[in-house]
Amino acid sequence: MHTTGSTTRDLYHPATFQERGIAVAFTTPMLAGARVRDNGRRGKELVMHNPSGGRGVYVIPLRGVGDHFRPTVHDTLLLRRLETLVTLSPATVRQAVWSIALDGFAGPAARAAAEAVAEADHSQAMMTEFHLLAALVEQVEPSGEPMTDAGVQVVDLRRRGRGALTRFSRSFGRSGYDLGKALSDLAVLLAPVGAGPTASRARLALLLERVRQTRDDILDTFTRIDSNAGGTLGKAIVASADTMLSCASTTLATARALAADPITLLVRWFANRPEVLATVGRPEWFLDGWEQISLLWRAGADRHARLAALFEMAQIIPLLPREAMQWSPMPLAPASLTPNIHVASHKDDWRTGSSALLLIDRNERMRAMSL
Amino acid sequence: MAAPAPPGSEDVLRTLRRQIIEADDEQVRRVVATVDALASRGSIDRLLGPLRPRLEDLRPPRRLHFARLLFLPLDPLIVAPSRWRRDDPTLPRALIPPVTRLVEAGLPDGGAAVRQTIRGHTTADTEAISSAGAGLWQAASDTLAKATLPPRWADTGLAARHFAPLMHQIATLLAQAPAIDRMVFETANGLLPPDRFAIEAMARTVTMTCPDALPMLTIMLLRRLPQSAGLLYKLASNRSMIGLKAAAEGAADLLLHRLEASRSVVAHQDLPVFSAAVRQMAAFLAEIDHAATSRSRREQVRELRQRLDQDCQTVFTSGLTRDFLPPLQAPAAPVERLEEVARSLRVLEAEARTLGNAAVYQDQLTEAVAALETPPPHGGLALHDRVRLLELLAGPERALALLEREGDPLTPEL
Repeated sequence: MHTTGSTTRDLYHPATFQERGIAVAFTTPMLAGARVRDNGRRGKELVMHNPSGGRGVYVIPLRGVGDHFRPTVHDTLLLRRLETLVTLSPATVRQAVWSIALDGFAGPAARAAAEAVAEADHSQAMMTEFHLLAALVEQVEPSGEPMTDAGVQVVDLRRRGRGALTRFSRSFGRSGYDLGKALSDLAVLLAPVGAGPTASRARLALLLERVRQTRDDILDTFTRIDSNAGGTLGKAIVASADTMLSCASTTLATARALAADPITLLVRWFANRPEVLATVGRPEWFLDGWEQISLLWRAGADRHARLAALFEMAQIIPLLPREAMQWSPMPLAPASLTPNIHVASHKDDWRTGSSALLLIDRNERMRAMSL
Repeated sequence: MAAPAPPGSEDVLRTLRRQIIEADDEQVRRVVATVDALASRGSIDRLLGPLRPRLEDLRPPRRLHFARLLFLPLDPLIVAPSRWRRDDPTLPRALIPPVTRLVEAGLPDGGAAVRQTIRGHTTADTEAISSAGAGLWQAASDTLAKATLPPRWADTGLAARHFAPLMHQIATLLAQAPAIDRMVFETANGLLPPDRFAIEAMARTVTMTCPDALPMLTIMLLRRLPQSAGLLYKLASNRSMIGLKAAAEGAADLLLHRLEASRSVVAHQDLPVFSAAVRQMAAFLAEIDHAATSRSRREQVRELRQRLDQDCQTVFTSGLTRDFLPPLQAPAAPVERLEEVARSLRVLEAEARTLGNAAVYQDQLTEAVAALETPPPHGGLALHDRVRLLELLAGPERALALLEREGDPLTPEL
């Protein structure tokens, strides 16, 4: 393995997030860092680092992955599931990954985690809907009792919510049922972003915090330990994380602001749904691929294992597509889109043979730790 | 220093020592753990004397204390005083107490901070070792480089003339210990080979500072980073690396000789630990069996590989028949434990395949694979658990075939 200053992205730089593809948490070590994307006529395909360690990327049709690699049962089932997805997004890929784990194919711990995650997703969606309804009641009945207080009873909220939706529907020209359905759909959509007082417990807020902690921990580690190779990699990871974190937190705040004004949100939802979907989806596109990096760090039993993981982490730092410059509310320098390091492994001994078995186990444990 | 034994206790100790010599590996591990846990070991410490060669093989985690941490990097060099020769690349165990006292006296707090950091840790806690060790080894090196003959040196049984050269060697080696430690963890997951430039810098520094210590440095390197052997030979071919070739050959000879003398090439222990040790040993044997090696060395390596293969087969068979097959047939099979054992068996098989006949392992796995491919009685393992176990033992293709044969036809992915 070696590292250089320039990057593979000299040869490959996607224009859009869709073209970059979505990071997939495969358990097969040779598929680490692979991304799935939809290429329209050519169907879905995997975009991977050059397996030989050279520059550039490999693009493999999803159905052909088994011909080039030897995926685990988990990954074969996941590839089949990805093939059936109508829309590819970080959210739908995440759901596919958890569904395979729920079937038990990522091990007992990941299965238990999948159950907990399903429960957490459901309760976050409920809380978001609660908040949206309460905020709507306050907007429609500004003179009434405040509804976003912690002490509000669900029964009370439902009763006043129904009234508010009916009143608003009259002026809005939509049925109360349509508005209620829209509010439920928006709650599911906004759940990962979070709304109201529980926003900090929303999935993307937690993920952002995890990546930030990983970044801080890497910096802190290098103030206490001397490692030349590790230090170079650590700095590169932190630099890319900084760019991503600032984009993700700003877009997260923008998405969350939608939930603070349900009337305007509903108006926009009916007038231009793709625009709302895009605004809410942006933070997750920015964060895509960083959970795996954070987990590689956190999965290390001690500082030594975490430092060793830096080499794997640096290999999968996501580059930002040029579209990120349009999405980011603040100016992004073109140089900040690409990681400032290129890590290539010239040999695959570390992820084949007996090492592969241990890495698959580690990857499954990481699945059990993810959000 | 050991406290004097109470009257009559000598006989008891003698009996215990006789029993300990005959104890099996597990009993030895328990004895060591018990002795290590004592607040004051006194004469009990002498119980461990006859066990030292076996402890070298078994390497049980030991309680970390100041002297042990200080000498940990030098551990492969330490020998019984009776076996120490001035020209050998070894250090006599008798050095430990006076050197420890010198280092403690050289530290501003007498070593209190180090003791605080390592309290409750063992030699298995690599993080505690490197965080407390890096500073200690460097400070010890500085202290020992300028140490003068201490008052109780005669207790070691070594002549006063040995003091200065030994301190010079230890100081030189301890100065390199943090770098070796760092290299061990940087290469731990196999992504990075050992850093050629770092090893070259180390060898040059030692050659210039204390050429006598070069063979010792190579022993330390080969012991902790067996994959560095090839690199050492390559560096040795460079004319400017005076003495490195002889040092590397000497280190390999010594380590091979020790392996030949040991009861097992790798001590039998928990499957995952055993597999990791086999991997390290196989790497070491492969690295020193280079193209220019002598016929006798090659023969020596071949014999050790055969012994290691035998060890692997014994451990594999016992793991399969004792830890996998009986629980697999149990009514409430413990899935997580079974997966752990299956993974360890496959890891061991993958390592052992490089040493000998792969068919031996495949034959043994047949029974386990057949048991997994047969639908269990009601209440047995769930299909996904059997699929995962089969994947671990026989690969994903066979596991997928089982899933497709027995899976729910309504499940969309099938």
